[in-house]
Amino acid sequence: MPIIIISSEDPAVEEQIAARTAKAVGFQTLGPEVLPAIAAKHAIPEPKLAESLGRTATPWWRRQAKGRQLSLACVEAEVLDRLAPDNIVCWGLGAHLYVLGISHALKARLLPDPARQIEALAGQRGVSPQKAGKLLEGARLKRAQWAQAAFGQNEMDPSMYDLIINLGQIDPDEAVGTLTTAVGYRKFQPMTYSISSLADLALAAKVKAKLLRTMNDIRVQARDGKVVVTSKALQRERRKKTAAIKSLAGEVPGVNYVEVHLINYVIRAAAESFR
Amino acid sequence: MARDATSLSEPRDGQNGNIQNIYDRMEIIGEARRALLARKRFNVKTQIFIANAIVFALALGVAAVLIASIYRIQRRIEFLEFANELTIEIQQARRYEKNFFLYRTNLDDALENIHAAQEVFITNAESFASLLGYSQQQTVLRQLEGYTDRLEELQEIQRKSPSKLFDAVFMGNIESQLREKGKDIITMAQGLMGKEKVELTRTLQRSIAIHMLSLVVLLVVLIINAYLLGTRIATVLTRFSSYAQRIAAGDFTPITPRRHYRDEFTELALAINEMIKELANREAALIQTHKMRAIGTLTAGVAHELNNPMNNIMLTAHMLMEENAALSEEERMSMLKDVADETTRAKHIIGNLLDFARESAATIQTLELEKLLRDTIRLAENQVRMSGIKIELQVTQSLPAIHGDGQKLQQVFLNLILNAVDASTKGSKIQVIALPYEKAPDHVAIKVVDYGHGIPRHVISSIFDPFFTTKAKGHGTGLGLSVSQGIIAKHGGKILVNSEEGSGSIFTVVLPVTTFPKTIHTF
Amino acid sequence: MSASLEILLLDDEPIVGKRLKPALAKIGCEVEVFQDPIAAVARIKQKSFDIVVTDIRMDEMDGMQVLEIVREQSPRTKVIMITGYAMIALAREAMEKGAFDFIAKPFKPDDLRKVIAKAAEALGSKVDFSAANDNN
Repeated sequence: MPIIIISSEDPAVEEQIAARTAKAVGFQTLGPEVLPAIAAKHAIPEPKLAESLGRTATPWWRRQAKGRQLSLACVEAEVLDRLAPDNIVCWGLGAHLYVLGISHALKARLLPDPARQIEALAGQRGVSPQKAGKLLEGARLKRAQWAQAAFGQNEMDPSMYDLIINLGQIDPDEAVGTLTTAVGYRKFQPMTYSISSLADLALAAKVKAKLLRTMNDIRVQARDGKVVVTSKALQRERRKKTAAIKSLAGEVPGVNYVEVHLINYVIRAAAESFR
Repeated sequence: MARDATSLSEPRDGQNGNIQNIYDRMEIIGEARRALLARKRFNVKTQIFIANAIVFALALGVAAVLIASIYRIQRRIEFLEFANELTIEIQQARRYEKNFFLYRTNLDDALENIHAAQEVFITNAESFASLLGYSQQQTVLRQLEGYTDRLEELQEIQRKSPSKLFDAVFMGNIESQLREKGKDIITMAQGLMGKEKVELTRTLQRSIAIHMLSLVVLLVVLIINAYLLGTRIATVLTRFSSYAQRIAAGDFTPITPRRHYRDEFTELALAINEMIKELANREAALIQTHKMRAIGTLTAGVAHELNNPMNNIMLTAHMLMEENAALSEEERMSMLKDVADETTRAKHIIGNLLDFARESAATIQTLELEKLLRDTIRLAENQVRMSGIKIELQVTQSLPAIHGDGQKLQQVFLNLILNAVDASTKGSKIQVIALPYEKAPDHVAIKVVDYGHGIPRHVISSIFDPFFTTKAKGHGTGLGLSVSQGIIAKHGGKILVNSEEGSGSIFTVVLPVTTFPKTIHTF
Repeated sequence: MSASLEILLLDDEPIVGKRLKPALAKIGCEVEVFQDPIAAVARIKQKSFDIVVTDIRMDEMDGMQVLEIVREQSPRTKVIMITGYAMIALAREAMEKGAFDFIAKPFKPDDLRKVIAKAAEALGSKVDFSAANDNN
């Protein structure tokens, strides 16, 4: 059975719709409640995980790409692993940004009712509705920037999603009904190709999480136990780095072949050759 | 592919070869720079300075002549005054002389006057020597002395023997003698004055003439100067504007010396050559960028197409592992041969693309159109098949060969074919036709015909503009046709488009059939 | 072992049929191999197979069309798509049109055997999977 991935700029909406949809179709939910377990397993402080996921505001002096990349890779690996059994409604873990090209994952974007959102925020913070609207706009922009920086995806691009539901117009009940119907479409049925693609994504994420502990600038592609790692290196450290990557990636269960592509600062090389 | 034809390549015409690789170009620009700098320097500033100096010298000369002439006039006037004074004194003396003869008055006054005249003459004679002339001076002096002697003689007689004064005969004689002398002196003095007046008038007239003449000369000098300076600047400016036009048209031949000297414009020419170098680099980079994008598009198709031989190898290898013991030697060999063949097939699938992707130095060579087009179609084949489209190639028999940069032309045709694929719907076909161009001799036309959605009339004029695209964001750079047109223009050809909305488009590449790559701009 | 499964295998790559026919025969399947989709479709119209395995990208006819024809002719037949051009859109289209499964090339013989076993199960017959790995 398929996977439903629910995303929204409002976590409360995500949680509510995810829970109700899961109940309606008899699926499990997968949400931020798994973060403590992930944090414990990878020895990363839980607040840091939440922060890298963009769930809490990051102060600018703590925005180091390396730490965040590692946290994200750990979350990605764990979430993808937990999605394998399918029949799952996933929310609040940024899954819509890294579960890509999986035909049995139904991606839904929920647009919260702006009036209710503003009202809630105004009541909660005790500010004027105009101010609340501005704050929301700012938060939206920040989230989009985060998605771009963390996964290189444009969260605002509608073509990312299979379904976009505007809760300003569609009631939550209707939205759950729509999701229930859509998930029944044959096109969202898992198949050998999509299941193996999801396994490939999970394996790549595991390797990436492992490598990011000691290095940065890592890209991993996997296919059927075979892993291709792309990174950057100076000419003199190539041999050492290749060996290090091969041995580290080889330790990940499920990996049976590792290929390393080291890019030798293409841009600078190109700039020099042009002279 | 195109490399096979290297042996056929003609020696490149260095001056006119419009497509040069980047290093060649740098060398040519360096050469131009050396040639530009090797000439003697003659600045516009220098020319202006020299012209002004000439005008100033002229003015100085005129002023000197005028001052001299004024000085001469002044001298003439002074001389005239002196002559006048002399005349007055002499006339006074003669008046007293007349009184003496009428009333026998004293001669002292007359003598006093004549002495004064003598003194005036002697004191001034020195300074007017040049005007007077020595002989005339002596004559005047002698005449004055003669008259004075007679007067003194008469005075002597009056003092010693006054009786003689009444001797009528004697007196008459002396009187006539004195009168004669007196008249001579007056005439002489008046003659002096008259002559001097004429001289003065002439000097004044000459001065006026000098004024007029110097003005005319000055005017002529200024006109000549303005003409020389003007033509010098104007010709250079015209030349540079023609350079700008040809650079804008895409001809990146550097500026070479046209005169025997260098000046401020040489610096401009050097700067423009630097700009040309930069432009050429950018253009090369643009062409390369566009090529990389085309390769990116093709790679997706190739990656998918590779899956077929890979699958064959994978299945065969696994069956070999499974069945190893049960297979006969013959079967095993046949399976291993399959693996080898499929590997070769995979290599071919990538090989074409790799060949195209390889960055080779631009070379102008004889190209066989049919082979070039066939290679290009093979490159695009996966893309074409993936879209469910058929592609046909028709080449007129014994079409003359063309000259050009095979890889760049391939880039153009590939771009046109990929555009046609994008425009076509599943199940339709694309035709690539090469034939002699009907509208001009010695030209060939390569038509890429599709039966797709066509180009709307209102955008057809802008399809060659850089960054114009009708494709969705992220699917086209909008550089394809602009870059293609640039490449074809450098080969002395053009791209024509003929499209009807809803029924398809025809892109026609017209290329000249020449022994040498024809330059589009000749200077 | 129950009555053997009848399978039609269509791929314009001859090696695929050459290798898969014995591989599937080992688990008790009766395989008819075709390289030409037109001929395959003609055969499909004559006979109702248990399973049809088809490539998608072929010159004469698209695998999707074959899928549609099979669904029309014999709704009980399970259709398994194999393609080198696997993409999310193509996979969803195939599933929507009623494919039983979708496999990306390259795959191992075992991958297909597993899918066939799954299809056989869905058809209510059983496949003797153990036979395949006897020689390993």
